[in-house]
Amino acid sequence: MNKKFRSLISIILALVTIFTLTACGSKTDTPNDDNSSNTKSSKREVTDEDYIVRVTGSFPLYTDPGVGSSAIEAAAQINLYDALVFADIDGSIKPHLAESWTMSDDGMKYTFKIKEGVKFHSGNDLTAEDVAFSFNRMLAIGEGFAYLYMPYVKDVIEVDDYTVEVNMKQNFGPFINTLVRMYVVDKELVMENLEEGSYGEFKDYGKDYLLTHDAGSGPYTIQEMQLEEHLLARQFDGYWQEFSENSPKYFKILSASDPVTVRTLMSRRELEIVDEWQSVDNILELSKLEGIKVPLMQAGAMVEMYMNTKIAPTDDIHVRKALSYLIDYEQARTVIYPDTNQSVGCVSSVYKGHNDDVFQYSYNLEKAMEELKQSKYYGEFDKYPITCAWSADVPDEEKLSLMLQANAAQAGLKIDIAKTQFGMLIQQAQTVETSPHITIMYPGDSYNEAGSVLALRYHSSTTGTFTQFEWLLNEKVDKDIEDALSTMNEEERMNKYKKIQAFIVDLCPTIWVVECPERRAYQANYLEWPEADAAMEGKLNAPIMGRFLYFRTMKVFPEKRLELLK
Amino acid sequence: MKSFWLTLLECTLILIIAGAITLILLVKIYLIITKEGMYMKFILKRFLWSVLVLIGLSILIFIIARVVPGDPARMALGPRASEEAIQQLTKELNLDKPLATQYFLWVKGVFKGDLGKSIMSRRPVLDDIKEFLPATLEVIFLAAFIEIVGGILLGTISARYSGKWIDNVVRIISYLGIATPAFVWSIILMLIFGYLIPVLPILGRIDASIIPPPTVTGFMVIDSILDGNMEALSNAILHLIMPAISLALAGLSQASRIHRSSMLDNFEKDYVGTELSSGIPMKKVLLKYVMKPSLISTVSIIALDIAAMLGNAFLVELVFNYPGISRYGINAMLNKDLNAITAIVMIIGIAFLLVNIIVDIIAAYLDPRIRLQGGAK
Repeated sequence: MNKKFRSLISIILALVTIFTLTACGSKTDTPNDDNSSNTKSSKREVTDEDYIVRVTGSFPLYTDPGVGSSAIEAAAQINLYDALVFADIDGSIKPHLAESWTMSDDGMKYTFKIKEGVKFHSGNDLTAEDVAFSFNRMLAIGEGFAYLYMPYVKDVIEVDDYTVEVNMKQNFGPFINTLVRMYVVDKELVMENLEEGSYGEFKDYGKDYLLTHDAGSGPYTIQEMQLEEHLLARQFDGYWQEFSENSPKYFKILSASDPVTVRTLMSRRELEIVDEWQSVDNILELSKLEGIKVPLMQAGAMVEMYMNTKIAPTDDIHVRKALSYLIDYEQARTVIYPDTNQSVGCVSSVYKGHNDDVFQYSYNLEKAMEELKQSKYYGEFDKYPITCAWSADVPDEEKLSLMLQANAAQAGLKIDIAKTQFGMLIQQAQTVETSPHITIMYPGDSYNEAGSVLALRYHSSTTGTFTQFEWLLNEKVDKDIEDALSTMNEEERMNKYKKIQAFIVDLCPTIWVVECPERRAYQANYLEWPEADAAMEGKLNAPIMGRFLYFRTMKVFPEKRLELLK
Repeated sequence: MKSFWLTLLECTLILIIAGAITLILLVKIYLIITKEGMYMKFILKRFLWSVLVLIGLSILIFIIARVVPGDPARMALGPRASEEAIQQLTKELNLDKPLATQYFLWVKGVFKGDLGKSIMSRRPVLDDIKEFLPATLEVIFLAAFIEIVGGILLGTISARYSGKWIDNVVRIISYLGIATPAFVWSIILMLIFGYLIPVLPILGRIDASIIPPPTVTGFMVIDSILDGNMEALSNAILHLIMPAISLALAGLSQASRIHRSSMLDNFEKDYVGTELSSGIPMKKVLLKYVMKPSLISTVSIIALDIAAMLGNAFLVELVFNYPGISRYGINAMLNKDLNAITAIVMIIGIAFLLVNIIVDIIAAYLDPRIRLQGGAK
């Protein structure tokens, strides 16, 4: 190399070194969630930006109420938007944007009185026009939670500035309960931001705009949305409900999910709440960190093993019952999923209308063998290997499938275990032939009634989706579910739910293993989380996806965080 | 809705016009290069073959992505979306048309700069690529720099002190680097520099407390320089360090072993003995006369490894929550985001082909025999 070239290289290296060594950030109006705040913590004053709660969650994340419906999307929506009703910690439904409502005698018309004086983040007033628009928007787009309303809602009319009328196609008993998902969007803002689309005069209904913005009236508003990275929201000062002095001024949803990354962030106090999909092992490690607590929050999810009732040999009820007897439920609820309870029936005990008087399986090899002897495939099980698929995103499922495989081998059943990406599972669910014999899933649903789970899991309309790998296709079950949902009297409806549950348990399309609470490690030293406290006292009863992450009622104490970092 | 035949006619006309223009250009270039010699002809032939390879690759990935079972519209909209919404998205994605029509429509779109819409991000794939590709390239450039400098340096030291303790130490380091996957290095570096000695950031491209520069190129480092924002510049470099080192280590280790072998091979040649006995200092012989021919095989390996980083960066990007094209690509494949899959595979294909051509040019510079023979045989 000649001298000039060497000199050039030296200069470049020197410049890079200088720039690297001058790394330090200055304060801006965005929250401090970086390393620099940690190293200078002992001298730094607390600012508004320190009042932040950071949570991990899966991306992409669609906060548009007409589009998103996953757990983390529901969590974002509950903070960015207001719904007509609100679910309290004990599960009771309270008026929210809808101050009051009446129902016609035949249950075919609802009239809602909308709260006056509520402002959107844009500054526009929230009126009945926005409510009607939001309903019609959701129905037209047909995504997100629209499935709750499409079979039942005929039209929504603005009667006056603060009165909305909803006309029904048919009776829908849980209608008021489902309105926890009816978020109201700012019609004026959406209409100002339309792009080309297929909804006639409404073009794209603002879907493009709402990918990275919000049109809500909720306690928080989107400050920054990086589609594959994070969502940052700040407190909305004009919110119609109060914030406490220590309410988070910001919340951030991060797309980090790798266990090592999550543990490092929690130990550096750069993350406050962990997502519910971390493995039990990782959660146990996190619980050993100073100041971390792990409440068990019952969200209505159960660990279930869906059995395909239309392919051999799981199309035989005796084989399905045998498999149910081959699960060691005690090991599942104490070792694989510690501190959980065995499921009772096909609906979690936290839902209204749960039937706890149904048959419950236990591990019994002899009974399994008896059932197999009654099967039409008896003596030929080697010709019918059973595939058990588990989701690659949820490592604990592998342990369950290995347990079943080992126990089934004793009974002469061969089980092949298939670790499958969630996207592939969705593909496999689309036909009977591609759906595995057994698939492990954690279903949860949208509102606090057993009917929501029954409709999601066992009605024929959900076959071909990842919510039903069983392909039950039972006319009686379909009719009973439809009948129950259209029953307006609550007590009668609950009784109908219970009968359906007993019938489904007898059909044995699923192995119901354990009730699976959400385990979310969080920074208890400097974060007060009412839902976590209620869970630890056994008072949490709100099985509504996303409800636990309601940031407005949390309290964060940054001085305590800074103390931990010293 | 246009018929298949009309679309085919449209695409054929476009292809004929494009082909005619290309032919005219090629004739002109041919007339020029026949004056420049055989090597230019070789490079041009490689370039033309690369175009054909890309066309073949596009057809292959297009078909594979679409014949794999699964309904992308259903996957994108979730299990409870209405049939109307699913049909609407199916139509938007042209999935209701025959495969050949879909391909021609895609090609037509590519000529217009439209790579289709991503069902994950719900926006044009081109917008996603503009956002995520520079992020990964930034890491790759730093990783490439580390790999080239580190690999050649360690290989040279190892060759110079062959058989001595320095050589053994470098050997151990190299084997560790080769045997350990990039994501394991990511975790180790994160534990050391993010947890035990928390001096480096572990997430993203820039700290939230720092105002990022306005996006010009998409490269945080370059945009910071253009904006004169030194805080953002230094912070962005800090965010690059751990991901870049994780990606570079395996390739650096491999390159050092190959370069060492190459240097030792060339060191044993007669001309080296002649030079040393003529009194030319060892340092000069090593760095000037032995290094250059030794670099040919090293450069080839490094170049291919750098091209492979585009795809291999996925787990590194996952660990550091780095918003790069690799993670985007894997998510596209898992969610059957057809347009994104096709675009990502084409980008990686283009990267490999370009790198191969660059390697040929560098090899020709390093070894005049290649130039004179009109390319490597």
